[in-house]
Amino acid sequence: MIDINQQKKILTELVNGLPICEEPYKDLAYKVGISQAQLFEFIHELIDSNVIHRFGMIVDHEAVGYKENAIVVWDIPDEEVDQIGALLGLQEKISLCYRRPRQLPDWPYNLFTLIHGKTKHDVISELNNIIKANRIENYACDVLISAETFKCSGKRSDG
Amino acid sequence: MSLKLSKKDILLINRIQRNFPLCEDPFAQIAEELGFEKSWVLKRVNKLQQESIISRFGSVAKRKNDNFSTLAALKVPPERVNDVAHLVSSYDEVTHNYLREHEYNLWFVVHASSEKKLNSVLEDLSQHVDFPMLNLPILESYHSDRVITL
Repeated sequence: MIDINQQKKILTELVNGLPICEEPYKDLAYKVGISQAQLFEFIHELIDSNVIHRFGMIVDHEAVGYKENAIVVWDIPDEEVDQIGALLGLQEKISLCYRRPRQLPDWPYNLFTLIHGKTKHDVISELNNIIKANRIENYACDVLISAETFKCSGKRSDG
Repeated sequence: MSLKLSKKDILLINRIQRNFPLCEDPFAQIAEELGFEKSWVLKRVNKLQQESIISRFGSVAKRKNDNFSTLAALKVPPERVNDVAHLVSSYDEVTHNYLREHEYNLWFVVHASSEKKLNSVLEDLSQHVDFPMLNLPILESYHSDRVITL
């Protein structure tokens, strides 16, 4: 099977990046000394066990003009939050969806979602589409639009 | 941005960000799924990389030894935002730090190797700034792939 040194080498190469060409996995499998089938199986394992969060083309969203984002926070009754969280997590335009604690009386919100867009207007209209399509008008929500980025680190790992 | 994206480009970009095929000729599979020519897909993906729209073809690794994290917020008076923001950003454990339009206006993510270390960062910060702070760790994750669909 694949030994620890081979595993390390594969992980390093995956983070550094593969070539964009026909048969992009061929050279890596050859260099490590395994078959492509073994390599595919190992990458599947890495994804399933959450060692890597995603695998594919890493797109720089600012380069395509997606410069704005909003954390949209929701006050969902505790007995419904799993259901609404799962529903919002499925929305194409929502990239993160987490339950976090309320801090009453100052902070009533327990569900957090992240929406990106080219303009603030786009972000708000995506939010309105999501609310309408899922009929969740009755839950209180608040929009925390980004105004300035002071720090955003770790393009090669998840922050 | 020098490259104008067509509808076809957007379909392509959305497809290649997640569930990337693990097979000998993945671009042939993508071309077939989308109904595009494989030669166009390969050429276009290369072009998107040249234009830095694709930064890399590979994986995003989990941050090493940083298994404890939280989202925190501070209610900072407008005249103090800049210096408090710089103080917050100065901690290595702070990975993201944004000004947002809200009463709680400074929102930041902290990552650390232990819960103790995580709390010590927040405690240290509250020794320096006396503003209301929210500490909002994740209780449940419903979706976390961070892929932005165009």
